Amino acid sequence: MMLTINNLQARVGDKAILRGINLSVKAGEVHAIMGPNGSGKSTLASVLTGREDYEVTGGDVTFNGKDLLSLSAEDRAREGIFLAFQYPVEIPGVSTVNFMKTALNQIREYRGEQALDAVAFLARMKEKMKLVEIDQSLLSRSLNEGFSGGEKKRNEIFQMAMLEPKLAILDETDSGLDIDALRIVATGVNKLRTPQNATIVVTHYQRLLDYIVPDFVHVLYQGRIVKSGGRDLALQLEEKGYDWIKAEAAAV
Amino acid sequence: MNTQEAIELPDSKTESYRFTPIARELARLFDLTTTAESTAPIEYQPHLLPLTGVHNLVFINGKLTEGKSLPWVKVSDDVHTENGLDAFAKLNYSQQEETVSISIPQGTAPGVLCIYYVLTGKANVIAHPRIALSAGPDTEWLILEKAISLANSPTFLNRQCTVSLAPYARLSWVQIQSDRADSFQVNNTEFRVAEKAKFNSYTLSTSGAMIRNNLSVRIVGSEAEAHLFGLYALSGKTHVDNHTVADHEQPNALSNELYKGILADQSKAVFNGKIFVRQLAQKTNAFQSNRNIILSDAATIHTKPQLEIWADDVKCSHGCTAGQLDDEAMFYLRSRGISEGKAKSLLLHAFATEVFESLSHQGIRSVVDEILEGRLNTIA
Repeated sequence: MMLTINNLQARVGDKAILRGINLSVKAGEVHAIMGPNGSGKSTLASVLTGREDYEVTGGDVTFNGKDLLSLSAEDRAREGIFLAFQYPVEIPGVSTVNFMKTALNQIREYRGEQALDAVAFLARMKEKMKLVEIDQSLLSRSLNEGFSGGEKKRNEIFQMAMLEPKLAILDETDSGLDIDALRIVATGVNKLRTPQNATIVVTHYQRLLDYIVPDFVHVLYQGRIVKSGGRDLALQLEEKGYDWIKAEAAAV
Repeated sequence: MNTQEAIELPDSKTESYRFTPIARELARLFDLTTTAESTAPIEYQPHLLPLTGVHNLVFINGKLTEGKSLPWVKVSDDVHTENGLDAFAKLNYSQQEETVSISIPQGTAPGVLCIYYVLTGKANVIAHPRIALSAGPDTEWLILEKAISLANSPTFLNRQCTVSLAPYARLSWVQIQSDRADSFQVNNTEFRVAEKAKFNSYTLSTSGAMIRNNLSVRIVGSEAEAHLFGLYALSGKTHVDNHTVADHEQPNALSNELYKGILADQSKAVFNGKIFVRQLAQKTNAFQSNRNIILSDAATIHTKPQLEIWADDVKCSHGCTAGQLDDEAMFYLRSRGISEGKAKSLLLHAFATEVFESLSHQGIRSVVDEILEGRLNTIA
């Protein structure tokens, strides 16, 4: 098992957001986490990647045999976890190229590998740029500054391609994308799929799952996974909305 | 040398020194009525910046020692009679008879002049160098200044500079303030910028005990341009006070000021930016910005813009901010595998580099970048 989440609970201030999440992800799988607004989807993504705004109050998470929650955000990334942000941050004065060079070499150092030289780095960049149809001029500019919504999301997938994570968590990657941008992003993600890595797609809408086809769909509601199923579940949600899930949860 | 009468330095009751008790500190550590006598020859060469193809002037304890033979450098005795000098200028004149005049005549090829102030001795190490520089019409020079304390006790550099730019002159002025933690500085600098001249000032402060920079730019010709850049990146108990003045006396000119600060530990910074636009100075563009990142609860910044505008057809703006490193940006960088320390220094570097973007001389730029990089790596 790559990732095992066991009874995970977390809160912000006094407010409990995750109230006992259980989930297992194997290499090669794609899991979709769906749910109405405020159900805890983005919190789950944040807690897994080490955002410090949340306090974990119970449960544990094992990632490739390691206790994930005891690791810093950067060490989780170095172990192979990647978060594609719902709102990628604009950082004036730092180019994507410089950012990726720094990140890649810090990850390699952690793994006891040699830093990439300029030529190897450039070659890798060129190859990954094609994958997400992103232009080099964009990557030389300040990170995400003045990028369109689509460019920001493509840049996220470009970074994912560069870092080759074992587990990618896509947080509402479809939000704010038109259909063409969505297709490019999804194609990039699909090309990066291998039997060795896994993907968690966090999304409110079914739309993205037409392109990134999940093996499992989980519905999160009030901080718990209240229903799991195959791809059909996503289609059902698309058709019927979330109210029946809420009603079912209330009946339990 | 002795003074006839004691000069009273501005204390905290003086508004412009309210946050910078330098008089008290100096009184505690120095006897300001005397100056260190010249000492035995000192090995200062290894402490100069690694630059080639530049001219050097070296002052030792306020006296010009190296560079006297440059054709456009002249040393003269000078008694100042002008009224309205500030107390530090008076102190400088009372302790130093020598004025070093540098006149770069029209037709001189572009060049770089590095001025070093070496302070050395066993006790009461004080230097009062004084420079008058004029950049001739259409000349293009870069002047760099740096203090080097080689003493085994606290040092005090009280340097005076008056600089005039002739029409069409292009002058860049770089001050690197990265001296020892027990070094004190007062730098009084006045620039007069004539018609269509272009002036750039860069002040980089990274260490020292207490530094006060009084930097004023008088626009005395129309269509002149002055850009004032400053960066202070401080830790420990370093205290840096930048008081700047952009005084527009003539029309159609531009002044643009950008000072940025990074404050760690118990460091303290003061920024006071005055802009005057006189009645004659119509069509003036005057901009000012002071932005600060505070890395510690114990660090402080006092920032204050002061605008006095008598002309009616002008564009002026000012703004100041003080904040912390952006948490979202920090998490974004760390989520890609970058360590907290490295993420901090990346963000600080991104914040700081804007200040030196227009510094085009490659050699000087890499010196500045290296000092800055070293500073930001240790501050983060």
